[in-house]
Amino acid sequence: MSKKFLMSVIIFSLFILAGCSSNVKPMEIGQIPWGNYQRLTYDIFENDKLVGTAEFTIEKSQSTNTYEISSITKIDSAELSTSTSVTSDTLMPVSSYYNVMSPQGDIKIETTYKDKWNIKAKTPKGEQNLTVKLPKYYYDNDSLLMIMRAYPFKIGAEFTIYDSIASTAQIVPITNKVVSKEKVTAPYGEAECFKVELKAGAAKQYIWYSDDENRLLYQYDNGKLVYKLKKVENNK
Amino acid sequence: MFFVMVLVDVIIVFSFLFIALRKGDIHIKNRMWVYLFISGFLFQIIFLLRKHWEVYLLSLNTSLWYVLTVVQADNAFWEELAKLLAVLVVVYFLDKNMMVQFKDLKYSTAIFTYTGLAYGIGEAMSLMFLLYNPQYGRVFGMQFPVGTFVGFVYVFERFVAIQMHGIMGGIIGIGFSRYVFNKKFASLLIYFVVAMFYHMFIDNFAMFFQYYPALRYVLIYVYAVFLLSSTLLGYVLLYFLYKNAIKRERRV
Repeated sequence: MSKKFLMSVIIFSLFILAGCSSNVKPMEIGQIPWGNYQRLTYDIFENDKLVGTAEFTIEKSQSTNTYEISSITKIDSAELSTSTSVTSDTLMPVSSYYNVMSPQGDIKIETTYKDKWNIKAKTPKGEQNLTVKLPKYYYDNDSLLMIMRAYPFKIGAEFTIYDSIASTAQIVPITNKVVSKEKVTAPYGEAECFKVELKAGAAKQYIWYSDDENRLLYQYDNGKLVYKLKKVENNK
Repeated sequence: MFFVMVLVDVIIVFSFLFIALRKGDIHIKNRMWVYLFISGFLFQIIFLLRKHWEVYLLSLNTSLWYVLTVVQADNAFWEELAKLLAVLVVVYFLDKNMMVQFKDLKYSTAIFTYTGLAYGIGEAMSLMFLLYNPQYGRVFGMQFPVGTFVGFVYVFERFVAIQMHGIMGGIIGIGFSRYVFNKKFASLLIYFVVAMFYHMFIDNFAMFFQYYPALRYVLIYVYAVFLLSSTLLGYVLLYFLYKNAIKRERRV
């Protein structure tokens, strides 16, 4: 009986280990569609009702050969500000900053990407330090919507990336598929866009990137909120 | 806070054992108490993997009534099944002679209540671990926000929740005793469903407020009262079902 039990445990463990190993590839990068500085502003809708705004800024840092991708999102009385340093060639993150200000209290999370992902969270109740193992290629969640603009889109193209999410200290595989081309209307204007489907487990999200050299993020639907492009400053 | 939670767990287990051994006259081999505890504790962790399935269920629909009925019923089903299996595995693999003793209603109720308590302690400890180490939440398909700190509110909530799991276990124990006694599977099924409904009643109360953020401040004030009163209600329910089962046994 104990031998049978032991065999079952070994087989189960092998399945778990097999599930953990994966064929990780870097995200393919075509051409970077932004210059040394760009700012994109969005209106955020929930059930067609305006509930907030978001602003993404991309800035090239000459000294460290990185891009600083930052965002400020305001929804009701909550404000989320993030900033990620990504290398200008691979667009993989070097460090990130995440700050939520809400009536429930402020949370500041600073992370650095080295051999491992080091996370330091500061809250009014104290400090928490976490270390997470990194896959070979990974991309920061808070800069993901922007860095994906550099992917050479083709209908039917599919790629998987590992998304590091600072707010939950998790690295989640996300499968992206360019499903179609659609005309999208946003306050900024109208454009022919690639529709990209993001799948993380059972959850699906959709992003629309313009089919031109600027590869602007026109629209983003996370299943609850819809971001629509309102303003572009310093287009390439 | 980890040690405070462990202390509370130890107090609950030894209080139960004191009552069961001294007042209840429940006697099984000492090592079987240990095995039942380990089984209840581990089955909670193993069955936490069901959260992957619940994430899928939630991806289909997130409306309040779907969550309160389908998702919560699914959650309660797996949790009660875990308690039932935690006992059966120990009996089947370690002491088959125990089986006949489950005909004794008091014996069965006590063993299942104890395993339910162990399940609740497993839940308290595993959730605490995941709150402090949210990176491992993915193993179970769960997400915990970084920067969450466990305080006395958590310990109090778990102190009550452990007892609730004990009550649910006890209700299943009554059903299992009746099943062993009269060989009617329906007896077990009915008590299993009662335990599920008690579970859903408690979980749905908190879940309801999640859907109405404006009412959340009400939850802060009434949550402690609700937890204490629903635990008391659970003990009354367990007592009523136990007495009722004794009456039925006498008629047979």
